[in-house]
Amino acid sequence: MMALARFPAVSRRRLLAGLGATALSLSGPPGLLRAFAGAAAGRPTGTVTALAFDQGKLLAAAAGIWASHDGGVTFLPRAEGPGADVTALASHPDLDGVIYAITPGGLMRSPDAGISWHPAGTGLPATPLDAVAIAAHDPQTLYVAVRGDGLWQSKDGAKTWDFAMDRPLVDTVEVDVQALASVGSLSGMGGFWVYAGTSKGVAKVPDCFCRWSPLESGGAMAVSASAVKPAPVDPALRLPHLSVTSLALAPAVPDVLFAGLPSGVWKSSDGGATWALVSTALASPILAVNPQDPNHVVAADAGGAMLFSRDGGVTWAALTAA
Amino acid sequence: MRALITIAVIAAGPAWAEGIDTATIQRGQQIYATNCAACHGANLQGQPDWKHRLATGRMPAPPHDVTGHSWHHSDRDLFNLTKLGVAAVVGDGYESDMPAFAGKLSDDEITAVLDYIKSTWPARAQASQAKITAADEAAPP
Repeated sequence: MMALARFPAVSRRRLLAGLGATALSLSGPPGLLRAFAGAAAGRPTGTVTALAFDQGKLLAAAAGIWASHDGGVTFLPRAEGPGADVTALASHPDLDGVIYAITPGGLMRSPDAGISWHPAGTGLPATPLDAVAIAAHDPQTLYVAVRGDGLWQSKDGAKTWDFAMDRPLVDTVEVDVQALASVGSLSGMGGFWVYAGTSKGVAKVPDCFCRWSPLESGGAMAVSASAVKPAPVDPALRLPHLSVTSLALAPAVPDVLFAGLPSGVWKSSDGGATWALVSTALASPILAVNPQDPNHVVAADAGGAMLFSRDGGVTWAALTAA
Repeated sequence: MRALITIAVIAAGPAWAEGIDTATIQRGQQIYATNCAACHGANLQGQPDWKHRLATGRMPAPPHDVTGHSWHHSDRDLFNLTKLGVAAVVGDGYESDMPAFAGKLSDDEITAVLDYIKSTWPARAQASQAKITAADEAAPP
């Protein structure tokens, strides 16, 4: 659904350096970025920095946007832009071909599965963005994490934006949101949940944005008088309070979540209450789950490696060209 | 009172005014002005920039009009949050400037304040909040 990759040693410099270049590239005819012409099928060149599924097609951002119709075995270059500095992609099964991308120049939208891209962040602060998600229950609602600021929300398909919520407070410190996921399980507040990956684990907030709460606070809104208080969780089953660089799920199966941490791929089957480390092959991977097949999970890391699972994360194999 | 609220939501037009005792709403407004308005605003508008955390790390007092999130809470939650204070209800060390009004306001006075607050919401918000309340009341104790 969405994925985000940040590589601490270089990401900030690259982001800042990219601001000017991207601004120039967007100054041409309505922000339309050129599609590759005559490019051959192959593997993404450069590091894969974001993944998303457009229906059953796997999209990868890596020195351009690449699309795979065979689950990642082979890719076709889709477009030059928004380029190598994409840090997140978001899609929705009800929006065929519509892709959102976080770039150093801001939020971009593609109406044609990544071939053309247009600015979509008018009204957002002119500061770096770190994550984007489309609401599971309403594809016209989007959430964007603004670095140093908090969550912004659009309810009209990115035409207008409003500030929604400050950043999560974790261990008395405000932390930036590095990854976002709309989780379509009932919050008990008339809506659903937004989960945020941070440098210290995952925080969650109902989509009425009343307050952040720890992931461990249970499946219902802890503030609700009727909320079933969760049973104490074995610390070994908790998601470590470490950097979460990716969150991914299939909207139709909101209880099954995948998270990318330095230790690898973690999976929860109960909406985030308990977790298990299901792959240590990739460190701080970016992740995507196929909305048409929730057992189909793809992971990539900064070193260019890509893995896939067809059984919901039980077993993993490297993606290699046939 | 809850039954009256339900009737009000189902009715068309300015539903609240039809279903709730006007005297109760006026009493609630007076209690609100004395006990709540200093933080939540005389016009229910909340503290300035209420979505950004204060220097203390706590969140400002949110609006109680439809621009806030009070109408996303059930009747029971709103009552308990007011009577017991946010920190006590949320737990887990959560800190809030919202005090407990137990001992300062009676249960009837708290209910009157909430009746007043809810009377200001548009019908759509009232209906949504009524659904949340119904779901909350149907949940196991």
